[in-house]
Amino acid sequence: MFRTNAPTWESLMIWLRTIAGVRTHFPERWTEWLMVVPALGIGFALQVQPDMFDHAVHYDGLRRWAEESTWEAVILTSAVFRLLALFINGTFDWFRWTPHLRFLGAFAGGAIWSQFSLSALVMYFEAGSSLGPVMSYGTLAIVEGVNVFRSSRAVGRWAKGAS
Amino acid sequence: MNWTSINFDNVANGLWLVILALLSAIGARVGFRNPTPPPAGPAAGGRMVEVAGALIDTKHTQALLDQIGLQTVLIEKQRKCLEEVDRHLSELTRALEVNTRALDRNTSTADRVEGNAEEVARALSGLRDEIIRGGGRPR
Repeated sequence: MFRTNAPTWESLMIWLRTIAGVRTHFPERWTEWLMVVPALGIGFALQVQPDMFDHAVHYDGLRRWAEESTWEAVILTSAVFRLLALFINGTFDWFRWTPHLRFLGAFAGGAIWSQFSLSALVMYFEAGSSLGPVMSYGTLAIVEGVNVFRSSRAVGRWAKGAS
Repeated sequence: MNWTSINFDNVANGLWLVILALLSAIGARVGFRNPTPPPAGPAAGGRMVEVAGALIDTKHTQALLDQIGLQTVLIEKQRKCLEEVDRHLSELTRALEVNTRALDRNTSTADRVEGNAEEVARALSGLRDEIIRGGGRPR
């Protein structure tokens, strides 16, 4: 019978399109790609060291608000969804909601890193812990603010295109 | 007002939420008013190259090269398909040749059967004449 290896070629084409899409959009979205790294990193750290909050005073505030496992679940879930949104990236016609997913990811990131920063600040006032983490986590929160602006701008473009 | 009753965490969270909401609103407004994304050209880090008086953006050249790469992959796929079609046409030709030879044999067999039938008819006719000459009466 007449047979071709069409599925292999089609999947190759999908990969090529995805990579081309990521490359095209990367200059505008590199900060979002960047912020996946600390999210996955902290998620991985909490996986390896489930009692991580016991080892530094500036995490006490975070533990007051939720368990380590809850933080890990929230951080990893938002990172994975964000990674998916950045990969799909508006390349395919069957899914046009990536700007919204990116916006949700950026907003969740902003909320998460602000809580890390706030916890360190509260512990500075209450227990005299180091101010360093306030600065580093605060920087991450500011970058997420930039991402919120950029992704909401994409949502605005999407709304204009859809209307 | 008792300022000590104010929860610092809530104030900070509320402030940050307001900042994020403002950024979202401004971003959405900017995106809605300027629906065209920024060009992937020199402003986005592309390099301009002058070739014989024409300005060519390296990013556009790269996009063109990517498209040519995709087309090459497609052409390769098409070539393999055509080879497959060619193979099947060859098989079909061979099958038709075999069929033609079988039809030839069939035709010659039919010719022989026809010749034999004519011979039998002639013999029967001769037999009838013999019977008539011998005094018998054919029914």
